[in-house]
Order: sequence, then structure tokens, then C-alpha cells
Amino acid sequence: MFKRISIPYILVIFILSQSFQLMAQGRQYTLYGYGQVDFSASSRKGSTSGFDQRRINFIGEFFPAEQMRVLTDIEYEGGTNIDAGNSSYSGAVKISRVWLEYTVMPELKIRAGKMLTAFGLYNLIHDASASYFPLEAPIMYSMFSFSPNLKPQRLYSKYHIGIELLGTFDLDDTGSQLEYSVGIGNGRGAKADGTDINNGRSFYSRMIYRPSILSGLQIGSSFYYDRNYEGLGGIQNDLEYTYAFDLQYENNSFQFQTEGLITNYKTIDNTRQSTGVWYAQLVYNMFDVLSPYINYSAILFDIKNSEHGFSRTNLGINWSVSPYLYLKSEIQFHDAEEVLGDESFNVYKISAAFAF
Amino acid sequence: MVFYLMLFNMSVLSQTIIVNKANSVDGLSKAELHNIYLGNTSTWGNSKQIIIVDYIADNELRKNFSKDYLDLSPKRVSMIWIKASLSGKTVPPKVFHTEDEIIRFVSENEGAIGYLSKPRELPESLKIIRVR
Repeated sequence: MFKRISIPYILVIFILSQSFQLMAQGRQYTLYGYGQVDFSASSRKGSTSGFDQRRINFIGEFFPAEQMRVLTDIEYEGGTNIDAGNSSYSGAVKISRVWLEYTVMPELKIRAGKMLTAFGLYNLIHDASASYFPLEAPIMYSMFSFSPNLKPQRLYSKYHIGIELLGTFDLDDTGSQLEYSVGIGNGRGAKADGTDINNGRSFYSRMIYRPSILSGLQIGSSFYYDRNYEGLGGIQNDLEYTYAFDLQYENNSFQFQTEGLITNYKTIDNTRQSTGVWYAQLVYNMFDVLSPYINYSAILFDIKNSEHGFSRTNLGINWSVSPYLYLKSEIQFHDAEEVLGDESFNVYKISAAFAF
Repeated sequence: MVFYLMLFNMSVLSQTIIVNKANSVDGLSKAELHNIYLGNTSTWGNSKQIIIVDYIADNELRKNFSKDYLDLSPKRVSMIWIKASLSGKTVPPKVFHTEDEIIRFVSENEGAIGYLSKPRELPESLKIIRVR
């Protein structure tokens, strides 16, 4: 219990102390981050409404040597109510990211450590809602339970412990670029001490193409593969892979995004199954202050048999109070099947998202 | 008369781009400047980290720069910066109120790039680069 309470504070004090030392030595240390506070209410029977101290993340970054960068990210999620009097507590404190990056050239950087998996439009900014218009990332990035007795999981690994190669190629003199990330690591499944639970490696890749012919357009693809210790379909150490595509166009007035993914995995009756998720989102930017948006998502748990799935529609508005503070309000229309219930329901959310 | 007025407006809108003297870059295309200031390009050719330097969002010079080179408003650009820095792609930009603060920062940081309203006498640690 003492370890749970003291470790985050020790880490923060350590990072701050290192920052003072680095500043004294003339090396640049930057501290920044983001946070979010929500209120939600639901029409679902038996649900409660309330405020949620959603998260706050402290990111520290410094340059220990030429062409090298270190980033650390400490996250407080879901509250920080740690009661010294007993063993119960709410919320979680974790080191979300810690990596070292070396730049060989703009086309090749090497990262090692714990990082967010480069997957889709949102995983690298997964929890930082100050960096996007909607209140939350699309459901494609959520956890799903494939049957009532299976643990909810994402269709890829949110975090990656391993090595990543990344870079950007300038394709011509007009500004077209190709950005890539490829990584190899531990994959899903970890022991209590954070080490890999099985011997399977994960592999992922992400490519983004930005053509100069239309400024604001980007087209991307992502791929993730690993031996999932707790397989999506209940098969331990299942070989699972996920393909995804994405498209985004934005200008001063609009932002349009669409993404889709297909995940392939084995089920308990020893057959392979594919699950597909897709969404489209449109934002309209009014006077650079108010941005109403609509988001439609759909998931099919078994594409071949077109069975068992649900859709969700979100309508919301984002108010840019300042470049670093956003107030958001959203209504979510949920299908009954999303919670294996009998009735559809709505969720109402208000959020304050900030970056510093 | 109209021609000379247009020429005057063009010269008022164009900015003077500055980098540290130690930076080997002598010029950038408009597309390269666009990619730098939107966080799409995060390192110089010599592999040093680019540090974007800009003005606060309601600064008139920043509004003109955003219009001329980025086709986005300063607030939209700020959200893009938040995304780029929180994702780990770039370091957060440095934002200042005055040209003197920008001149001081760029002269002290080899990877920094900034802009001024017009050419002026600069410290020896800085240089003006052309935009093609």
C-alpha cells in the first residue's frame, strides 16, 4: 500500500529534481501535459450520474545528448483518491510512456522503451482530448468484450514495449510527404511486474501519405500483429492481426475523418473470425470558436455472418475557450446490443479538456 | 495606383524568416515552411530537433503568417501543435509576445525557427533565410 501511494510522488519529485539539475547544466527540460474533467449522465436503467476526475498527464522531455530525446509521461487516470488508512483506492497512476529516441536522419529515428502504439488517427493522442474536437476517441479505440465471460480488450495493443523505427520522407519539392512507423515488441499480455507474459513478439506498422495536391488531406494505413495471451475469442496465445485504413481532410472550416479496421482471431470453437469496426466523423468550425460535430460508428463482431454488432451516433459541440482550453458537450445514442441489454439508451456528457 | 497599393500590401504581409546562424539551412520552400510549422517535419537535415517559435494566438503578425503559409487560423494551428507534441512527434512550440523575445530565443537555440514582421538589424547569432 505504501508503495502504491509513494511511487508516483517519488517519480514526480525525481523528474522535477532532474529538471533542475538539467537546467543548471544548461540542458533544456520541458514539462507539459494535458487533463480532462467530465460529467456524465445516462438514461440507462440503474446508471448513476456524476463527475469524473478523468485524467491528468505530466509529460517531461529533455535532450541528454545531440540528436537524442527522452520523453516520460506520468498519468493519473480515473481519480487519485488514495486512502492511506486502508487498502482501497480509486483511480490509477502509471507511467504511460518512457522512451529514448535517437535521430539518425529525418528519415530514420530509433525509439526504445514504452510508448503508445502508432495505430490509426487516434492512438498516439488517445487520451488527450484537447488535441481533437470530440469528447472521446471513436469507439474503434475502445475495449470490447467478445462474450460475457471474456475480459474486454482492444483490437490492437494501446501500448508498445519495444523498439520503433520512424521517420518522414519528403517525396518532392511541393511538400508531399510519407511518414512511417514500424515497431517490434512484447505485444499484449504482461505479468504483474510488467514483463512479457509469453514469448510471442508483436509487430506493427503505420504509414501516412500527405499529398501536396490537396493541403490538409492525409491517407493512412495501420497493421498490428501479436500472440495475444488472453485471446480476443478466448484462445490463449492466439495469433491475431488487425488491418486498418484512415482518411482525414481538414481546412479552416471542416474536418472529415473516416477509419475502418478488421481484426482476425480464433474463437473457442476453433474457427477464425473477423471483426470489423468503422466510423465517419464530420466537424464544422464556426468562427474559430464553436465546432459542432457528428460521429457515426458501427461494429460487426462476425463479418462473415453479419451477426452481432451495434452502432452508435454521437452529436456534440466543442467550444474553444482558448487555444489550450476546450469545453465539450456530447450526447451519445447507444444500441441495446452494445451492453447486451434490452433497451437502447442515451448518455450525456460534458467535459473540460486542457493542455499546458 | 492600384498596382502600387497591391505591391504595398504584399510587402506588408510577407514575413522575415529567421534561424540561428549555426543552422546550415539558407532557404526553404513555402511547402517546407508549411510542413515545419504544422509539425509534419520535426527535424532539420542535420538531424537536430526543430523548435517552432511563434507569437501568441491573437497577434496580428501570427494571423497573417498563418494565412500566408498555413491556410489555417492560429487557433486551428494551436490544436494541431497540441496533437503533434502530445503524441511525441515534435517538441512543443515556444510562444512569445514580442519580436525581441523571439530574436533572443532563436539566437540562443540552434534548432529554432521564427519570423519577424520585416527585416531589421539582427544579432550576429541569427540569419535571415529566404522563402522560395
